[in-house]
Amino acid sequence: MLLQIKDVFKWVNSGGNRVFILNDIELTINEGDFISIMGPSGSGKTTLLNVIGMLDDFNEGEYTFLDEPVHTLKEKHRANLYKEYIGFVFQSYHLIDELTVYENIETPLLYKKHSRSERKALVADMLDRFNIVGKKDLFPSQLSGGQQQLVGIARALVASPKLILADEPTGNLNSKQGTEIMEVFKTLNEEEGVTIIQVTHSEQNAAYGSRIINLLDGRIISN
Amino acid sequence: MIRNYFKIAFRLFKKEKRTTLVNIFGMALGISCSILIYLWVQDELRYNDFVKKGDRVCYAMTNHPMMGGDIKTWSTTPQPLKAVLEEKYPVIDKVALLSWEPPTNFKKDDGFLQQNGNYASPEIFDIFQFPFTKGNHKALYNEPKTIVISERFANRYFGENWNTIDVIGELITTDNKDTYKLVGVFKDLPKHSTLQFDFIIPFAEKLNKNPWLNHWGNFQNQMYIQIVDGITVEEANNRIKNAIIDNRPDEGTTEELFLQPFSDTYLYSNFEGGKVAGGRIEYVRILSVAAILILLLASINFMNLSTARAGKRSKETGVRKVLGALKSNLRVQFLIESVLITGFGFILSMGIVSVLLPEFNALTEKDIELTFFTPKFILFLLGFIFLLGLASGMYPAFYLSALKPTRSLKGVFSHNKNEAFFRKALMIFQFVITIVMIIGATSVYKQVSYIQNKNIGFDRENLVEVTMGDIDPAGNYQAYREELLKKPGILGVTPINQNILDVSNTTSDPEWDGKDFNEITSFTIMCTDPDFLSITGIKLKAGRNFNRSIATDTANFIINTAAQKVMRLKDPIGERLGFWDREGKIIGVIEDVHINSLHVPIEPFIIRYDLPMTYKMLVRIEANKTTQALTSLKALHDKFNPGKTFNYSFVSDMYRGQYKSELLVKDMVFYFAIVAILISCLGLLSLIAYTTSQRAKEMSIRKVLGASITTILRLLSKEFLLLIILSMVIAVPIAYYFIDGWLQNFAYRITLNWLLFIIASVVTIVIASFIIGIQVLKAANANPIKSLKTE
Repeated sequence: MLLQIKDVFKWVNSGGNRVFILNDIELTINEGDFISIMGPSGSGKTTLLNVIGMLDDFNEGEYTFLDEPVHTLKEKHRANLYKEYIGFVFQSYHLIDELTVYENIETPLLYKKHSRSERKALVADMLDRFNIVGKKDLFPSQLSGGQQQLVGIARALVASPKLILADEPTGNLNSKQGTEIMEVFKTLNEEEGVTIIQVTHSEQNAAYGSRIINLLDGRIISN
Repeated sequence: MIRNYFKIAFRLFKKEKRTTLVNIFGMALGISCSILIYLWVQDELRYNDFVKKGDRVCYAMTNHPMMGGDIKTWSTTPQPLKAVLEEKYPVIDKVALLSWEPPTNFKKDDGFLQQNGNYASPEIFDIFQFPFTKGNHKALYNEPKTIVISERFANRYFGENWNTIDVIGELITTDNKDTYKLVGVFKDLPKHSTLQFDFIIPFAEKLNKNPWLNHWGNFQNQMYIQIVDGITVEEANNRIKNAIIDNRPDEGTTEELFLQPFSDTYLYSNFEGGKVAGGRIEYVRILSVAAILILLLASINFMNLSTARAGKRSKETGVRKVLGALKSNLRVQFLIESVLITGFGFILSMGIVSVLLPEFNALTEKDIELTFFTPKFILFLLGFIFLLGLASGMYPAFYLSALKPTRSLKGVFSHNKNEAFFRKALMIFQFVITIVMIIGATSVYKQVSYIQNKNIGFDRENLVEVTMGDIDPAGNYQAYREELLKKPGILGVTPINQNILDVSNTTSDPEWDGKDFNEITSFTIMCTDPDFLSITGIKLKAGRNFNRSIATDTANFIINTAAQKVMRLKDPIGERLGFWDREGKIIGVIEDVHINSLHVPIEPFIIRYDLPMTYKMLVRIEANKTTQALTSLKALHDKFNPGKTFNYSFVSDMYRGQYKSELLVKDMVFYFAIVAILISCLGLLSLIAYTTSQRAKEMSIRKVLGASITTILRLLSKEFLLLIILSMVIAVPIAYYFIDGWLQNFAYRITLNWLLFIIASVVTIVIASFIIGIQVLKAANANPIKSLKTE
C-alpha cells in the first residue's frame, strides 16, 4: 500500500453554508497502480489530486503516505516527503520561463541537494530518454506544447519518484501529442512500476489506467 | 544551487530591464547620498578625537548668572584660577592657560613672517602630549624668553632644510622687537583639532607684559585641564563648581566653573542656561537622519516593486514549491536578488560619489578623500550592502515565499487586500518623507535668505575690516587716517576694538543713577571714535554723536535702545554713566542694531569714544571701486607696517561666515530633497506602470463598452492622487513640528506661512500628476484588442 485516505472532508464556508469540496473520501492506492480520476468540472478532481500531493490540506480525516500520517506532519517534514516520493505534471506544464530545458529538469535535484556531478548524470539520462538532448539549452517559450510537456514529465521523473500526479497532462495538447504523452506514462507504469494518478476528462486517456475513480460534487461515486 | 539563483536573477533583470534599472538607480542615488553623509559625519566626529575620552582632557568654562535668571556661558577663565586649582583641588592634575592672539609677525630677513600662535602654560604639552622633533618644552617652565615652534613654522622660517641644521638655540624676534630663544620644534598639530597653534611662548611672558591679567575679574584666557585618573568629569565638576566663588577675594561673585571633555568641544559648543544645548552635533544628527530616510525611500521602492511584481513571480514560486523548495530556499533566492540589486546600486554609487566628491568638498568646505580600499571602509560597505539588501528584500521574500502553491499555480493571483494596503502605506510613507523634505528645504531656504537679506541696522556691503598692526591708535593713527582719506576709493575709516557683527566684549561694570546693585546687568562695549556711526550707517534715534572738538566726549557714551531698556531710563540723554575709569553722560541713543548673530536677541550695547583700546579699523569703500580701494589700503598698510602681511576681510563675507552652518544645511537639505523627489518619483513611475498593466484587461473591457480616454484617465489616476493628498495631510504637521523646532534656534526668524506648505504640496502633486498622467495615458490609449487577446 502506497497511500491511504480515510474519511477526508474539505469544505469552504460560503454565506453561512458549508460547501463541501471533498466529501467523505475513502481511497487506497497501491504501488504500481495507474489511476484515472474523472468527473465534471468542479467535482473536486484537482483538489483531490492536490491533497494527495500534499499541496493542499483538508479539514477532517486521515491521510497516510508510506505509513507516515501526513495530516499530523509539519510543513517542512511534509515537503521532504513529497520532494522525495512525488512528481507533478501539470496541464499548463508550469515550466519556469527564465530557465532552460536543462535547468528546469535540474531544479528538483537542487532542492534535494544532489551533488553537481549527480545532477549532470541524472539530467542527461532524462534528456536522452525523452529525446530532447538537442533542446537542452532552449527556453520553454521556444518549444511546442508537446515538447514542453515532455520536459515537464522529465522534470517530474528526474528525482525518481514513486508516484506521479498528473493534472490533465494532455489538456493543452493536440490529440497526436496527447497520445504520445499517454504512451510515455504507460511505459513508465508498466516497465518501471511508477504509480501514476491522473486527472482527465477524456475517456480515451482514462482507458490507459487500471482503475477509474469517478467524482461528483466531492464524492466518490464509483471506484 | 546558489549559482542557479544568480542565474535566474540575472535573466530576470535582463527580462525586466526597466524595473531593474529603476531599482538599481534608485538604490544608487540613496546609497550615494548616504556615503557622502557618512563621510561628512565621520569627518565631523574626527574632530578632537586624537584625545581619547579616557585621557581626561577637558576645557574649562564659566557660567555667569545674568539679570532675569539667564545664565551666560563663557569659554574663558581668570588667570589666578590656575594656581588655585592646582593647589586646592586634588581632582585636578594639570592646568594650562592659553591666550587668544591675533596673528603674530616674526622678523625674517628683511620682512616678516606671519604665524598663528599663543602664549600658553607649558603644561599644554604635558596635557596633550604633542610630540617634539627637536628639543622639548622643559625650558618654557623657567625661562619666559623662550619659544617652541611647529615643523610648519620651522619650514617657513628656516627653509626646507631646517631639519639638517641645528636650529635649537636660535633667536627669533617678533615685530615688537622681543627676542625669544628657540628651545623646541613640535610636530604640526593634528588637522582635526580645534586647538591649533604654530608657536607657543610661555604664559609668564604675557603676564609680564599685561599685569592686569592677574586680576580675578578678567575672564580672558582659555584653560585646558587634565583631571586625575579614575575620576569622571561629572565628579570633577562637582568638586570644582565653586572654585571661583570660594577663592575670588572680592564679594558677590556668582560665576560657576565647569569642565567639558575636550573631545566634546567641537560638536557641543552651544550652551543654554549653563548647560550644553547642542551645536554642530545637531547638524550631524539632522544629516544622519536624512541619510537614513533617503535609504529608506530607496528600499521602499524595492519592496513596492517586488511585491507588485509578485503576480508575475507567483507561478515560479508555486512551481518551485511543488518541486520541493522550502520557504527558506525561496527566501534565500529573493534575498539574493535584493542583495544583488543593492550591490549593483552600490557599484553605480561608487561612480556617482567619485564624481560628486570634489563638489561636495567645496560645498561643505571639507577635505575628504575617498579611500575606497581601506579594509575598514570595505568591510563597512559590504556589511552595509548586505544589511540594506536584507532590509529591502525581507518583506518581498517573506511575502512571496508564503504564497500557497495551489493558488499561485492556478494563475489566479488574487490581490490580497492586506498586501495592497501595505503597498499603499509604503507609498504614503515615501511621499510623507518627500513632502517633509520639500517643505523643510523651502523653509530652511527662506530662513537663510531672510538672514542674508535682513537689514541688521547698518550697511554691511563695501565695508572692510583691516588690522592696525603697528599703527598706534592714540598716536600716528590720525596721520594714517588723513592720508587714507585722500586715497581713491576710500570714503571713511573708524577704529574699533570688536568684531562689529559679534560684539563679544561683555561687562557688568557700568553704573548709572538708579542702578539696582542686586542685579547683574551685562553690556557689550565697542570702543571707537566719532566716525563709527557715519561709517557703519547706524542711525541716532536721540541725542548727538561724539564730537572731536569736545574734549570731554571721550568720557561720554552712546547707548542702544536695549541698553536704555535694561537701565530703565525714560529719557537717557544727559544721564550719568560710568565704567572703566571714565565717568560722563549718555549723549545719544541709537536704534537697535544687530551687533550679535541673529541667533540671539539684541543685547544692551554701549559705544565709547576710546581710541587707545582699539586695534583694528572699519573702512567704508566706494562701491565698484573695490580693487582701487584695496590697493590704496595695502599701499598705506605697507607704509605704516613695512614688511608685514596685509590682512583684510569684507564685513559681508564675515556675515556669511557667521551663518556657515546654516548655509551648509540649506544646500544639503536642498540637494537631499531633490534626491528624495527623484527616488520617490522613480518608485511611483514603476508602481503605476505595474498597476496599469495589471488592470489592462479591465481597461480594455471598459473601452470596448464605450469608456472614453478621459474616464479611464480619471479612474486610474484617482487612486494615486488620493494617496498623495493623504501623504500631504500627514506630512504637513510633521514638517511644521520639525521646522518650528529648528527655527527656535534663531531669535530672529521667519514666521511659518501656510502658503509655504501649500506651495510644497502643490509642487509634489504637479510632479506626481505629470508622472501618473504619462503612464496612464499610455495605458488608456492602448488598443483594447491587444490586452484582451493575451488572456
